[in-house]
Amino acid sequence: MTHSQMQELLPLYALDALPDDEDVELRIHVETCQECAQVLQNYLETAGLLATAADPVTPSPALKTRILQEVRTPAMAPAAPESRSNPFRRWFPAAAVAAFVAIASFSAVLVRRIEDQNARLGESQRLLTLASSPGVEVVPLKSTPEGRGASGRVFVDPGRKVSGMVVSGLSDPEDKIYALWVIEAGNPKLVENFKPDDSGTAVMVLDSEVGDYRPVAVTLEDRPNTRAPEGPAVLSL
Amino acid sequence: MRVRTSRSEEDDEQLMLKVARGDESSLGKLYDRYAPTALGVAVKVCGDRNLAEDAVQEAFLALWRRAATYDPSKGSVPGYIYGAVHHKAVDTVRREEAKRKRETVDAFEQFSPAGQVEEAATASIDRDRVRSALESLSDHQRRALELAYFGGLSYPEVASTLKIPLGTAKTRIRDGMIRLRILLTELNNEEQP
Repeated sequence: MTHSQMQELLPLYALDALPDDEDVELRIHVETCQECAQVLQNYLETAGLLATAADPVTPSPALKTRILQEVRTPAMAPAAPESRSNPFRRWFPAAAVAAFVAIASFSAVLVRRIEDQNARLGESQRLLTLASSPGVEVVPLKSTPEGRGASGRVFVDPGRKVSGMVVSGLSDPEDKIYALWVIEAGNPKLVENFKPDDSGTAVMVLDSEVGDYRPVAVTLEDRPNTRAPEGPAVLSL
Repeated sequence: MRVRTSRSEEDDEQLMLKVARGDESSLGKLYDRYAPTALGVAVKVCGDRNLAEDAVQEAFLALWRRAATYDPSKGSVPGYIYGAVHHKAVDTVRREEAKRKRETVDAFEQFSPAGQVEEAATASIDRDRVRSALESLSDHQRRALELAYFGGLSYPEVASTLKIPLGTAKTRIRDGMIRLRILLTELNNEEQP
């Protein structure tokens, strides 16, 4: 999409009214476009006002109890402010949550969780550039029964290699972890373990040397760094 | 213009600061203030009380984890909470595919509360203004906007529901949102002394 097309979709993005693929594309764009980010803030606030048109509903007493009990668990400790440079997740949803993966070669896998905003913006730009590169084909991933509701797209470069992936609708893995696999020389090769953001989305940029795209699969594993898939596939080509 | 924040007791931003430091009681105060409206939105979107409460729970837990990243210059606290709850609710129904079982057509009329509920004192003021602004939209715009927001539908689903072309659905939602924003700003300016 062009910048002007993205701008036209900002009101719909604020309403959560975009299909998953366009939602992901827009959230990446907003992270890299200050102009759109500012316009989006206004629409998000308007959407917040729209919420007040709903009649209030009294929550069950148990709901507050559940929330306050949950926050007392160690896993719910609030993250330190300095660990996150980008304010207000809903305003910049991808920034706080997207895991960007870079792979340097077959033998050396370089994984970076981008904490620095400039680097993160660079990765977003990279994905946008990749998506719009000549010859790049976008191939949809299919969800399995275990991955019901999930969807994804693989970016395949002209050399028929996987070069990026956007997945959405993944359920919260809780204490498990997702794994992206390709087949190399007949053997499954773990590309990366990842967790999606709170909206169930993960964005990955891969080195074009990695993997033929056809055997790509995403599985849900009990533990990271397994030698071969042990858990169920949730997405595949 | 922003969602009105509560002016009584501690203000929202002070509470967010305390939540960021791990103060459960401040989270509880924000919950008491905004959960009824948040649940009202979630119930409309999810069409299921249990799913709606799950969405509210997830949103408040996310608020707890991320309070330290809150930047007041980016928007109001209730705007953030309602946005997070709506996002969770939409995500929930799209995952659960519960919307297939719902009567989205009457989304705006459903789930009125049986009686008075406690909520932020400012919420009813916002409600009257927003409903007035919604009434000022064209029928086409209002219908498309309500299906998208309160029905939790994507614009292709709105197009399918209303049996209109994709581009038309997109335009109606976008123009409705733009018009709503202008109307709310005008109403807000009229109220300024």
